[in-house]
Amino acid sequence: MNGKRGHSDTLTLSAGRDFSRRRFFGVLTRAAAVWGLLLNPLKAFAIRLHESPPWRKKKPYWGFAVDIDKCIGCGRCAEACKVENDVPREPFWFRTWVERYVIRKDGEVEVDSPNAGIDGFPPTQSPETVARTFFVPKLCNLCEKSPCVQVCPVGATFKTEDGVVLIDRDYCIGCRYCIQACPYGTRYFHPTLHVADKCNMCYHRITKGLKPACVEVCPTGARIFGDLSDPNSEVSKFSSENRVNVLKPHLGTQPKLVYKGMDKEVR
Amino acid sequence: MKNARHVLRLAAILVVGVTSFIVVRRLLVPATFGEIGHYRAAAIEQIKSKPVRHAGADACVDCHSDVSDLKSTSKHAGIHCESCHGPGAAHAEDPDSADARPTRHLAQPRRLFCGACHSESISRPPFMRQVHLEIHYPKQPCTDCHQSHHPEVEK
Amino acid sequence: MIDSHLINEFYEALERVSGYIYPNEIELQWSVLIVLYPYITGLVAGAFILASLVRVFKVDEMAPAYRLALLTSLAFLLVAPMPLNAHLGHPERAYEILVTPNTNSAMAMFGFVYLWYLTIVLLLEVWFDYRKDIVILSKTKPAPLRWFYKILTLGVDDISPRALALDDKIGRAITVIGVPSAVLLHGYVGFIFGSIKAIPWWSTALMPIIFLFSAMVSGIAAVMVIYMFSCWLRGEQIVGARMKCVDTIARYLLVSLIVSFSLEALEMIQKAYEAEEHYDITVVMLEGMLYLSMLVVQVFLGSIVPMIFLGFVRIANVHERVRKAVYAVSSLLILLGVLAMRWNVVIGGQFVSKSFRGITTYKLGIAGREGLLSAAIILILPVLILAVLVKLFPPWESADKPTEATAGDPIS
Repeated sequence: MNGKRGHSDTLTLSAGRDFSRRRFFGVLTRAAAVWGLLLNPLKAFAIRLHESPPWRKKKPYWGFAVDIDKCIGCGRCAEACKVENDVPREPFWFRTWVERYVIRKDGEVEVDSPNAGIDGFPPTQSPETVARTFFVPKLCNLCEKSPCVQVCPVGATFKTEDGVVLIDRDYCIGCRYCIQACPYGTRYFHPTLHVADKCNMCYHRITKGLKPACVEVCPTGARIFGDLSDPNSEVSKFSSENRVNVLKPHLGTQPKLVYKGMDKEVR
Repeated sequence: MKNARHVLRLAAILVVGVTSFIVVRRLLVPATFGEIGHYRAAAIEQIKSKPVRHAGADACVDCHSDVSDLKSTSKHAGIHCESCHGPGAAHAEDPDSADARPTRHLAQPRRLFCGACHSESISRPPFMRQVHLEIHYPKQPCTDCHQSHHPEVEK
Repeated sequence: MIDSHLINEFYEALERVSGYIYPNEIELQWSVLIVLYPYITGLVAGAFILASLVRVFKVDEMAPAYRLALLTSLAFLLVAPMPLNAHLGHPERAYEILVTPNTNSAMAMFGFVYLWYLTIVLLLEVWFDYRKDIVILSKTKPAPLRWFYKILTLGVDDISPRALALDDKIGRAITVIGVPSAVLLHGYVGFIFGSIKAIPWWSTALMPIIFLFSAMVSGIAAVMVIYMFSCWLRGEQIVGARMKCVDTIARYLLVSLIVSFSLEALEMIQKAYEAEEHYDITVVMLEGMLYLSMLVVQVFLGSIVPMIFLGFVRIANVHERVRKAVYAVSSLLILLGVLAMRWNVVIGGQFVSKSFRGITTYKLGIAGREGLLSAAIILILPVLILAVLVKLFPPWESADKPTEATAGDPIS
C-alpha cells in the first residue's frame, strides 16, 4: 500500500506515518499476545510454587522421619530389613543401613558402616580426641521428585499414588540407570534377579496396616513412619514440631524422609 | 514420477515398517500398563502380595499378654517383641510348629546379644544405659541379674 | 544362587576402598562395556559428520573418503547397541524401551534417536548413494550374490540420468537431515551422563557438547586411519588427490581437536574454580586412579601431542611422507585418547562415592561377559563388518574418479 502513493513525498510521509501508527498498534497487540503467552507459563510456575503438597490431596501419603538423637546403632533395622525383604545377606546389598559418624576435635570426619551396622561397630580409637559422634540410619529418601523414576527408560520404577517409589521386578530391564541417578546410594543391583532393587517402605506391610520392618524392630523409636495426610499421625507431628532437615536438599529431590538433629557432616 | 518408482517402493516399505511397528507395539504393551501412571498397575498388587515376615507387636499380645503386661511396666516397654526375638509371622500363623518359633535372641551368646544395644560406645546417645562388657560381671550371662522382659534389678 | 565369583570379587574390592563409600557402592554399575558404547556411537557420529562435509558442505577434496566414511559410520552403528544389550540384566526385555518408553528418560529417547538414525539417515543415505552400483552388481555378479543385490534394488533397475539425479537430490536432503541427527545422536549420549545430578563428575550442561566434539575428533581420526590403511592394503600410493584428501581430513581433525580440547579444559577449569563440596575427593581421584588414563593418555598423548604434531605440519612445510606418518600416528593417538576420555567419564564418574567421602575401585577382568575379551570383540567387530561392507559395496569406484584422472591408477 505504500508503493501506490509513493510518487509524492508528503503523501509517502503521511502514509508512512499512518503505516507506522497502524504497525505500532499491531505490534502492541502482538506484544500483548506474546506477553500473555510468556506470562502464562510464568504464572503456572508461580502457582506451582505455592501448590499445596500432595499429602494434602491424597490419602494416605507416606512419610518417614528419623530422630538421630535416638539412634543407638544396634543395627536391628538393617537386619530385619534383610529378612523381611529377602535381601541377599552378603555385605554388598542393603535397602537400609546405619552409618556411624565420628568427628574429631581437629575437624577430621570418620564415617563407617561395617555390614550396615548389623554386626555392631568396632570401638572408636582414642575417644579423648572425639568432638562429637552419632549414628545415622539411611534408607530410601522417598523423593517427591525422584531422579530414579525420572531416568527409568521403560517405566519399571515408579511413584505410587501414595508417594512410595516401587520397582516392577518383572519389567525392569536391568540397565542400572536408576542406581546411577539415586543421589543417596539406596539402590543396588539384585545379584540373582538381575534387576534394580531398593527400599520400598515394606509396601507389602504398610498396605496391610503394619509398619515397615525396620520401624517395627527399632528399640528406641528413632524411626518414625506414617501418613503425612493425617496431621495427627506421629510422623506428621514429628516433622512439623521439630526442626528437621533432608539429605542433599540442593538437588531438589524433595525427600519425604526427614532427619531431626542432623549434623552438617552428614551426607 | 516416471523415474521415481524405486522411491515409491522405498516409501511403501517405510510405511509398512512404521505401521507394523505401531501394531506390534500395541500388542506388546502389558495389559495394565498406563492405567494409573507410566507403569504396570498390576505390579502394585504383585508387590503387595509378598508374604509378611515380621508379624507386628499386636500379633504377639494375643497369646503372650503375660509377657507384654510385664514388659509394659519396665524400661523395655517401648521395644517390640520382634526386635529381640526376630521375625514371628510364621510362628503367629502356626504356633505349634517348632521350626517356626522366633529364636533370633538365641542366635548369639547372651552377653553379645544384649551388648548390641547396651555395650559401651561413645557414639550412642547418653540416655542409653551402657556397660563395659569386659568390666561389668564379665563372666556372667546378663540374664543372671536382668530379666529380659523387666531388666530393672530389684534392690 | 549368587555367583561366588562375584562375591569374592566384592570382598576383594572391599579391601581396596579408601575412605567411606555407601554400602551399595561396592559394585561399579557401569563397566567397560558402557565405556565402549559412547566411544562407538561417537565414531558413528564423527564419521557421518565427515561424510556430510563432502556432501552438504561441498568439501570436494575429501570426496575419495566419502563413501568409506559412510560405510564406517554404518559399520559402527550396527555394533553400537551391542555393548548396551550385553550389559543389561535382562537383555530379553530390551524391546520395552521401544514399547513403553518413558519420555522423561534420556535413555529411552536414545532408542528412538538410534532407530531414526539407523533407518532413516544412514541406511537410506547409503542406499541412495549406492543404488546405481547395486543395480549394476545385480546384473554382473554370480548367482547367490546376485539375488542379494536384486533384493536391494527393490526390483527397480532404473538408472537413467533422471532417476540418478533424483537419487542425488534425495541423498542430499537426507544428509541435511542427517547432520542434526548425528548431532542429536551423540548429544543425547552426552545428556545421558550430563543429566545425572547425583554424580557431579558427570553433571554438567557442557557434557553433550563435549561428547559431540570428541565424537567428531574420534570419527574423523577413525576415517583417516581406515582410509590410509585401506589405501595401503590396496597397494595405492597416497599421492595427488588422495594426499589432498588426507591433508583436508587432517585440517578438520585439528580444528575439531582444538575445539574439543578447549571444551574439556573449560569444564575442568570450571570445576576447579567453583570447587564445590565434591572437589576435594575429585582431586584425589585425578591424582590416583585417573592419573594415567586421564592426565597421561587423554590429555597428553591423546590431545596435546597430536595437536602439536598436526599443528606443526600445518605451519611447517614438510615432506608428504612425513605428513602421512604424522597423520597416521596422530590419528591413532587421538583414537586412544578419546577411548581414554570415555573411560575417564564413565568409570571415573563412578569411582567417587556419592557420599564424597571415599573412592571405590574397578578391576577390569579378562574373561566374562563384561571382561576385556568381550570388549575387544565388540571393538573389532565393526572393523570386520566394515570389511564385509566394503567387499559388498566397493566405496572406491565412483569416489576415486578424480584420482583416476590425476594419478591414473587402475581401479581394481
